[in-house]
Amino acid sequence: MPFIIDLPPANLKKQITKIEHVQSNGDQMMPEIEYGSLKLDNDLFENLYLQDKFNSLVKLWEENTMFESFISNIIEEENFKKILELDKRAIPLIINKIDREPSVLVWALNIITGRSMGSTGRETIEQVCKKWVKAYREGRIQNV
Amino acid sequence: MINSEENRQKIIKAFQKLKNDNSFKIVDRANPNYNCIAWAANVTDCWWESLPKENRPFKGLDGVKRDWPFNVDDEFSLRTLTEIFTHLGYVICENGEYEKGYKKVAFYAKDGEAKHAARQLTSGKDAGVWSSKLGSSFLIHHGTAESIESKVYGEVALFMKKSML
Repeated sequence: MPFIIDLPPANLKKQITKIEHVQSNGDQMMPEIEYGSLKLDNDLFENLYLQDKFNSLVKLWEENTMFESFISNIIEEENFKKILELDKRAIPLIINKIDREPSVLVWALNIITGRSMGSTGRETIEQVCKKWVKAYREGRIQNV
Repeated sequence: MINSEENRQKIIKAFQKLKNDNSFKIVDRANPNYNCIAWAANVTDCWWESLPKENRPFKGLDGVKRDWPFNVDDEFSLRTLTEIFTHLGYVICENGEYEKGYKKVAFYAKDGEAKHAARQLTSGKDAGVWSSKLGSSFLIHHGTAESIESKVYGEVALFMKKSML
């Protein structure tokens, strides 16, 4: 029966897997092998978990608000709120998403950072998404 | 292609009555620069939704301007929609049938709450066809106002019309 492992953000100590090839001629004492436990890259698991969680939240949010007529309902939708709860960890994920597909997801950046990229107030969503992506790539947006 | 079968099916899934509407057509891509209420008033650079009077227009989010015009109350309802469109020269009318020389709008409500507005086209081969902006999503044409009655937007609650003369 298949099982699903839900990997919460791990708090494992960073460890290293050590592999040794040992040859024995029969007479020599076997060298001691350090049987360290399997060590995992903490960052890798956290990033994978975060990306997966973010993707799920965005998909659900888009489905739930696709035909929504009111901005207040779009940004108060429960999955959008969960994206906001990811706080600054979500910034690079949002940037990648709006770089590929400009959308009102950019509003999450306004709320998380408290900043705006609209200088004239007449930019379109596509234009401000490009501004955010450019600012991030130039290191002008702090994430974590 | 904007009027692709994939896009059409996404919309029909939510608005089942469009399945049998021969006039149903997606005419523009998803555009978050305006919503259905603004579109019904022929405005395409602003979201019209209720806002506190001291916050109009509101530009707190990038790429979008929000407004609630004519100093109407901070309430999204059939009452305030009627008030806004009265300011625009509309009067309440009986139905959504096309009348030459008039443009019409329809308001939708679900469980007593206003949800959506659509407008009727008046020129050329599309005269009489209805047009709806689906949130930040597609702009569509549909044959009757009733074609987009659904769990999403409820039912047509009110029609208004304005003379074009």
